[in-house]
Amino acid sequence: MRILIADDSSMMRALIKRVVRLTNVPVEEILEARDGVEALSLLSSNDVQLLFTDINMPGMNGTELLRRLANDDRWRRLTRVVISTDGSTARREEVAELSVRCYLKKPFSPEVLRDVLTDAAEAARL
Amino acid sequence: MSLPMPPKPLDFEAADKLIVAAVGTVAERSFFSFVDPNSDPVLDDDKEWLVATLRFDDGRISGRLACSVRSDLAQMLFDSFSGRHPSGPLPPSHELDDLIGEFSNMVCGTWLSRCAGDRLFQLSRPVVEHQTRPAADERHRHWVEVNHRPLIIDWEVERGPDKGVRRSSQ
Amino acid sequence: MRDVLRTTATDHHLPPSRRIIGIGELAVSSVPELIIATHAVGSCIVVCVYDPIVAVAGMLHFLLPDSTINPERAGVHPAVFADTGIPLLFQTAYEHGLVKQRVIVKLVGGAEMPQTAGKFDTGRRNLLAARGLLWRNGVFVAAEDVGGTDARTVHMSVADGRLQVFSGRTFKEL
Repeated sequence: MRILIADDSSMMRALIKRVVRLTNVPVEEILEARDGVEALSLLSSNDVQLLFTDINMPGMNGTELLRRLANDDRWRRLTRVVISTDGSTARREEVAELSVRCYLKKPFSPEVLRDVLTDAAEAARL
Repeated sequence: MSLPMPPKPLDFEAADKLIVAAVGTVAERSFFSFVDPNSDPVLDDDKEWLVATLRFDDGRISGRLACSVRSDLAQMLFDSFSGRHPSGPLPPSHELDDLIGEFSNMVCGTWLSRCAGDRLFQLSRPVVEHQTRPAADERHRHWVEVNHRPLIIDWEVERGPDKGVRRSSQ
Repeated sequence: MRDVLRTTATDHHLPPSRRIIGIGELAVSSVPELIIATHAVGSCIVVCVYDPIVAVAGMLHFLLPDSTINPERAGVHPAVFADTGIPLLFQTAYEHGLVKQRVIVKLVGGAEMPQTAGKFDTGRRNLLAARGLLWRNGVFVAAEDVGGTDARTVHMSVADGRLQVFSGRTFKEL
């Protein structure tokens, strides 16, 4: 499985990578993007099964990224997880129609991310 | 067809009361750190401060939040978050800045989700500066201790219903 | 060290099947019929580790989060503190054959006892110390029964690593 992490914080990307490595999920490669534009570029040139995306990113934000993915059949099978400090009902409603499997609100414990990853990895495998 | 309900007016004084709890949630959940109120704040002039500032804006209300973290606390938060062992190599400065920026991002996001969960706020990317003193005292200021070290949250509304925003009926 | 109890499969001459540890003590065993138990878990945290492949079980009952408040005491009784007791628990378990990559960790305790509620928050501080130390060492918590206001009793089966947690009003299996 190939995972893409889209977040403008390098430390948050490092945390997610650490959880992925410590969890018993078979991962071939972990890709990183700092914003939605980089994420789209990497998705176009790599076979990615699981996407973690932040919402508040410079340039193209996570909501716009998810909209583009939802409107393109190329990524029909991509499993999408939102990781964001924005836990407002308004934001959740905004992304509710964008094929998001899970909305994980920051801050989260490593165990919660592990559980989300395990579930999402199973979905991506199927 | 019914129109979407506009968000409720934001009670700034009630919102102010939720800041410290937001710091506590972030500190405990992702940084395994305990937050105590600080009733006797003292500035230690020898230590550097990392000040992370970000802006929040939902189109009607905008403001900024600054999180001032003393440098020794910044290092502790980095270690707790990343799992770095205290005897390991020190992180480069840009990673420390990134971490404090992300801390402030989480505090702001958690706080706004709780006090204004029906609003869609955009948060700017935090700007982190190294200073000899914390951020300038804003209208709303909170001193706390995280792992017995000082941390200050300042926030201010720059544009909002009580800040002279023109109303269409006037 | 006198606050560390070690039992191995060769200790067949020992009396039957229960080993009780107190506050500031730990025990590690590979004797399959053994139950390791501890009582009066209030604001303390009990850390239980288990390796299902070699059936090695360990339990630590620590009182305080940070040994720097009393290094002398930590030198004599490391199991009193999270930051000295947890590494000692793991080190002792490694000596019995536990492998870190296979370890299953469970936490119990961290209650806020009524007599000190709102004053010291020792239970929460202990829990944060345990979680932080485990994360620093790349170990997840598999299950926990923490918080609340009731003291707990914990029984751990060496045969399968399962916990039975009793409080005044409830019983849970982890």
